[in-house]
Amino acid sequence: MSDIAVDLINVTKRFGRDILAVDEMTLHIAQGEYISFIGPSGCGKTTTLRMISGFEEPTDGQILIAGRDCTHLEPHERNTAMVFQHFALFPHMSVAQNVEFGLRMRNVSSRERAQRALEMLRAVDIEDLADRAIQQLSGGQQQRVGLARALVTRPDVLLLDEPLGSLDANLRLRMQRELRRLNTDFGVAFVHVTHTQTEAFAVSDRVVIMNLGRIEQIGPPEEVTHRPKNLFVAQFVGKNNILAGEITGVENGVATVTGPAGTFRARIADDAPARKDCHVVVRASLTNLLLNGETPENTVEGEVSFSIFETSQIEFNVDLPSGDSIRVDEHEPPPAITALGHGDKVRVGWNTDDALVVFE
Amino acid sequence: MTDAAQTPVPALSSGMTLTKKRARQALLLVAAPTIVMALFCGIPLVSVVVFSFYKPWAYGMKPGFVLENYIEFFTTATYLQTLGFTFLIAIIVLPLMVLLCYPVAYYVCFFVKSERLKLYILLLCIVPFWTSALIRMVAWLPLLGRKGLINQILMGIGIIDEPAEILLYSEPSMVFSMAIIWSVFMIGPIYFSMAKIDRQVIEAARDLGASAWTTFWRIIVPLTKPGLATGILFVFVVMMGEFAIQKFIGGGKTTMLANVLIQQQGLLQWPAASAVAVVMVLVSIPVIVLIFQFVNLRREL
Repeated sequence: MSDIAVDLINVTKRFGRDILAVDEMTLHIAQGEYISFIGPSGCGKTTTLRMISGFEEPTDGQILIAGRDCTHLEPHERNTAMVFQHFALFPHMSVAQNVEFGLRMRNVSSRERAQRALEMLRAVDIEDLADRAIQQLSGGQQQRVGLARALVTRPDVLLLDEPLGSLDANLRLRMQRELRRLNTDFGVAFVHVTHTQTEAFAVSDRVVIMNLGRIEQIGPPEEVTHRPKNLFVAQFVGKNNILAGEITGVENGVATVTGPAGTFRARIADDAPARKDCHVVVRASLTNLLLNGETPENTVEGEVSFSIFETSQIEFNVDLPSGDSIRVDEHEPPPAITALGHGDKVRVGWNTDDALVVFE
Repeated sequence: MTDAAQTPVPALSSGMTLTKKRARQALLLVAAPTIVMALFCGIPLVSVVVFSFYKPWAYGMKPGFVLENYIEFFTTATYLQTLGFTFLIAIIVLPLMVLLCYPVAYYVCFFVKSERLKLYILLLCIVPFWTSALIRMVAWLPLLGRKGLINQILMGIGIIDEPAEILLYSEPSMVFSMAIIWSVFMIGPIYFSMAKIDRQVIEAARDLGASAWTTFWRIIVPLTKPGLATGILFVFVVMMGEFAIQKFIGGGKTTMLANVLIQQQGLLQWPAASAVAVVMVLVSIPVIVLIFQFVNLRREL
């Protein structure tokens, strides 16, 4: 009995000779943990999921599921369950038959099958649909059947491949909450692959950010958002402003960085590499358009190129003389700022504590 | 690009509302296929039924209403034997074809990775149909004949001393060549219903603990039932009308229902030939009903 659901140990996957999909990946997923993989297309997140499920065999490395070596086992020989983007329900079976399928394969008696299937349909709120044909269900209902079908087998890990990708926006938000609730209720590890960051952040305990087959950063959503480990994560996660420069001095964990856009002060990690060329990262929501009288620690001057109104905020894009562009998200701004538009000269400012130095 | 927005709504001819115009258009749309069907399918079929009750005469027929033609068919042992034999052949050929064609479709669908190669293989099945039906049958002769390729090879490597007679002009050779000649009618529908299966559905079954074999029986076979039913229907219909294979490859020793029809027609016995045709349709109906019982084609296609 181990409290680790999945161990990936130096897992490598090559397709053919040239394509390195996953590169020496090591990751431990705890039981009951909700973990998401995000990254650009082709970063290896789906391949990793498919290796855990057994649809792809690692070229190198080891995969343990609940402590058992499953590296070379067939999908049906390991206790994982998958939820598919397009649901992949069995079209010739009823809802109940779909949910019972995994139990039937495990030779569970028909009475226990029916009982467990009903319990599971109740857990995902569709017990009244048990006898329906799959074609009669809406997208959201189908995804619930997919979840029930996977969870009913009591897997060691539930694998979700873009599970909300084919649902509309409102339904997606509802299902995110549902997934989170199911994860807590069942105590099963969830591994969720998505290309939607907000979705990953909403549901996960930890987020894995992948690029070119490697893990760039692992951590809770707040951590990867607030403390990106490197330039890639800063560019990929959230809405960050990134200004290039060179470190000219470090004092008490604060670096002074000078670049084409100006000289700025920003926090620097204690274990930062001893390199000069770096980038200053500030989140768009932590920058402000300055009214007269405000003098934060870092400022730049520029010209508004365009603004976009969203329900609770306005996004301003400001062009700097250096050629950089800065994005400022103003939350419920006062009228003096709302009135700003294309061509207006503005000053943008932020606090040193909200800025971070990252390296490539 | 404001032209589209400014185009006036087409004026309707005075005195005719939009719904009336729509109704007239709908009627026109329905009328065309109805007329074509009535002309080329309805009238011939009805006339065959009517002729089957006409009085036979030495050189044709005379109008009337007699049951003579049917009575003759059902009291003549040879005809009944032929009817039975036709069904016997169907019962042998259809399962044989399923056994031969299902693996071919399965292989092309799941094992051939390149889409281009899949297309070429399926085209290969269709290419023989560009030649005449007769040529497709005669082509078997140099292969199966007494001095044919197979006999020569078998004798050459010493398995047999003299040509095997069973290879040609026999029931087995007839059944075998039917299965091969019509295989495209079976492979096609099975392949297309197989290709429609979502690959993720197959993965889902594997993921839930189904072995490859269980996945095949519980997922792939049930989902290809419409294809199987369509294939069986196609072959059965073609088989009912077949008259040449039994002549060229079966050696004319055995006859099927269509041969009786042709024979009667050759003797200008139109009423008798029509009666055989009607019997053919009538005995086909239960088979088609049976196939529709097996799978709801209306819903699946």
